[in-house]
Amino acid sequence: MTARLEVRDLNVSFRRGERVISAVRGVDLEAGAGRTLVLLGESGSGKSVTANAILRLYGRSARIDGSVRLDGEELLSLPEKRMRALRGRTVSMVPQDPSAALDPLRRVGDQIVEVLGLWGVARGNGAARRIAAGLLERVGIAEPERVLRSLPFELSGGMRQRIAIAIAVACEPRLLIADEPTTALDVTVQAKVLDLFAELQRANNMSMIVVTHDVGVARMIGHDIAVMYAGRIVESGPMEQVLSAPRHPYTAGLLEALPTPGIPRGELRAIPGRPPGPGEAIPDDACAFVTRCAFAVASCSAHRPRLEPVGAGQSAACDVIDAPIATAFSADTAVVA
Amino acid sequence: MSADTVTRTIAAAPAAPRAARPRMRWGSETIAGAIIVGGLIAVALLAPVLAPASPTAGDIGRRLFDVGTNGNILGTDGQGRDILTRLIWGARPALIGGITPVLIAGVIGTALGMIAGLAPRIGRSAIMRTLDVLYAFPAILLAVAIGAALGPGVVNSIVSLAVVLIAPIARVAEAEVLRVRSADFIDVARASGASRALIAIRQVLPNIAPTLIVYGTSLIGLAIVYSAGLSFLGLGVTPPEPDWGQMLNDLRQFIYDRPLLSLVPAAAILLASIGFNLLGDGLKRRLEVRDGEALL
Amino acid sequence: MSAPLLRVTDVVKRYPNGVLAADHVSFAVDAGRTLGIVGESGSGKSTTARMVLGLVVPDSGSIVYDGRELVGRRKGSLRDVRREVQVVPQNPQTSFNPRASIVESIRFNARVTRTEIGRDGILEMLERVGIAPGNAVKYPHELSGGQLQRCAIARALVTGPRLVVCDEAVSALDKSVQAQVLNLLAEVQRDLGVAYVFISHDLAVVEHIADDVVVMSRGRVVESGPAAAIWADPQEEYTRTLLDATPEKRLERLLVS
Repeated sequence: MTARLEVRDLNVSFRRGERVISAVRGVDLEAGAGRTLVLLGESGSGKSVTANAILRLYGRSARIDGSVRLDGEELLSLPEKRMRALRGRTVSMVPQDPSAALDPLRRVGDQIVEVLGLWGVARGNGAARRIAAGLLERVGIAEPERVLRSLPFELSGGMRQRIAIAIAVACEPRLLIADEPTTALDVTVQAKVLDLFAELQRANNMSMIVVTHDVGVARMIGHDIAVMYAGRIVESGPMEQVLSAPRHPYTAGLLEALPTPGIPRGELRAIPGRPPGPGEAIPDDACAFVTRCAFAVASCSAHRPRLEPVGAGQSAACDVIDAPIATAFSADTAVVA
Repeated sequence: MSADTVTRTIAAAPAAPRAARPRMRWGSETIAGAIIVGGLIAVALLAPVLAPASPTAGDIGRRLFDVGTNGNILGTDGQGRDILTRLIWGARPALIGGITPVLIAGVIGTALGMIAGLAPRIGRSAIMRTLDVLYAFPAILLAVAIGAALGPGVVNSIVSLAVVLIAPIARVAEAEVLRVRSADFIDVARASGASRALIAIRQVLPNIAPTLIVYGTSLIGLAIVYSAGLSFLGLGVTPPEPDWGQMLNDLRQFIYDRPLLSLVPAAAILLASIGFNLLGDGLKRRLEVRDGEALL
Repeated sequence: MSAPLLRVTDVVKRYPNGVLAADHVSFAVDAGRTLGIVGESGSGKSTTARMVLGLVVPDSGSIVYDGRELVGRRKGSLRDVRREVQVVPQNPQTSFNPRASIVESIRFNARVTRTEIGRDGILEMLERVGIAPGNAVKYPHELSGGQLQRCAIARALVTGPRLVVCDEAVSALDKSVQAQVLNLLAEVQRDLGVAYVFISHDLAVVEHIADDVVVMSRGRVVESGPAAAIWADPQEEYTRTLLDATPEKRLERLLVS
């Protein structure tokens, strides 16, 4: 069971009253079988919108152009009925807030059984409950029977997230999309959940797209990374390579802004300014990062740089930088930030 | 803190404000509602000028003319009074009967809701449980019961409606207070030593006001119908003063011969109520959208 | 060595639903220094912060600020303490009254604490934290999270505090903006000598900003001491588990190897 997700020139825009807000522009992505791609970005970067658009969760409220191919099948042109059949079974999502994924008024067991029935995984209550218990065990829940009988509020956030993951992988999807899957969790639970993802991926050769703003999480879970800013991908490539030798000032800035040990107080290398908020208009004829960039030159405001390969599978959208930018994580110094 | 240390921190930070938001469009609901309500208020104010005839003096020789008669475009009633005139004059009691109870109940209900929400130990059980008793009765029955107990008259009708409306308003007020109370800025004020009263008036009240105003507007639509209902039953405005509910009662007996005549006051009541409801709904939508944008 | 600015001793708080949020919690904060309180959800760190601010009354124990016992005092008698102990809350979106402009909100805080400061003084303070006068008159929904946190810091500073409780003050911010605010907090401490109680679940941030650290779990203080010592050589099992689990720690190990 292989999954190869290919996204080409994805554009997602929303209508707000009279305005059209372009949330995602010209995004190209790939997720190979058994590999995890991390979409890294801050608020307003368009990373969550990209993830939701792949699953076509916006319905009519968004306009989506481009191509999203799963094992060669074009998802964007599928009739909604066929898309519904895919969701949950072939392509699945783990939402950011586990509490939102579960109905607070019904027992966990009933909810899982209902979903299994909908997806045709199990017929009959008895069989479904057995499968449900098995699913919970698979995600590391020690007493599945007790949990199945519980109401969501009786369980911890980590437990709820595991249940959401269990439901998401019940049908062994070829592609799993996780939107900030660990943000709402405590740090110790986060580590376990990330390990769980890795394990499930190994077992099913599942492709994964993980959306996050946390570089540490990205590094723990991802093979490849795509850094998003203002709706576009500004850098992409294999994880270790991009993080140790970034070729876009934003990526370098994100790494430098982390409070790594040894940096004296008051001297964090902050990126000045702030990222454009969701809904803010961004001009298309200049680099969106220019107002915050330490390397900007005059031409950056006149022309939008394209995402170009810079070697060894890495690509960056910057016309100024032509060598890796040194950060605290660099192997050897090149351009000094 | 010197100027250049701050500059070092924020460097080239643009003072860029968020992209200017286009002015919120008023929905068609709000506009329609506003037009109707505005028209209603205008009619009420200009009644002496607009009305073609006398609202109380009737010409028996011209009784029960149908809608569309020359000279009495909306017909005449059982005593020969021009219906259009009575309709126009009836706008005043309709508005007064609709708005006044809501204003009175608004003040009392908001106060009760705020006490219940901000000083739960003192007020919550006493207030809310008492109100629950009122709330248990269907509003219209309660209004009739109180109205019957008090007797006919405009003031009594207003009082009975106000009593009925206090409970729902207090509930909404309490819910809003609880929502606002959980916000961080209230904690900041408390931590700085602000008194409960100061927080209630300067911080809580302005934040619950919009919701209550919107709710109140819709309640006016309801109150207009109830007030007409009370007059219909003989409990509100006393004859010969013109009132839509009362007109409905008068003309009811002629419904087989002159069905259109009773439709006139009924349509007026309906239109007035719809107008306020549309306005309330439109305002509510605007409120939601604005909050939605703000949370972006 | 002078007495600590704030000393919390054996504070206990049990909520009506039975949860023991604070189980004999003790710690001290010295003037001009930063105490970090770390813990996961349910650790009791928020409750502890609220007790220091006077928002929650402890069941027992003592909180001594500047030599004065706070527990058991009547509300009105602590006005000057309230002025000297301020807070920067977590959520920038709800930490300001949506119906008032930033300047008005700050003036309100000054009024409540009986601090004499005019509009010009408020604008000047806002400028010092990086908020231009044009933004000072705006409403909260018109400003970004980072800008609002700066405003929150200005609001706290306007009363001339000696201790500011930062309750997850940077947790809701994008990492690039977080760095700006952390730098600002450091500057403020350097220039004004303000002490911080910095509460966070983010260990990397606490390690960066704190002089001393208290590690909490389920209402109890598990370990406390100088930040450098705790990070270099955690004594307690829980502390070690916590430190090992952070992605940054793993990142660091990858760096070293």
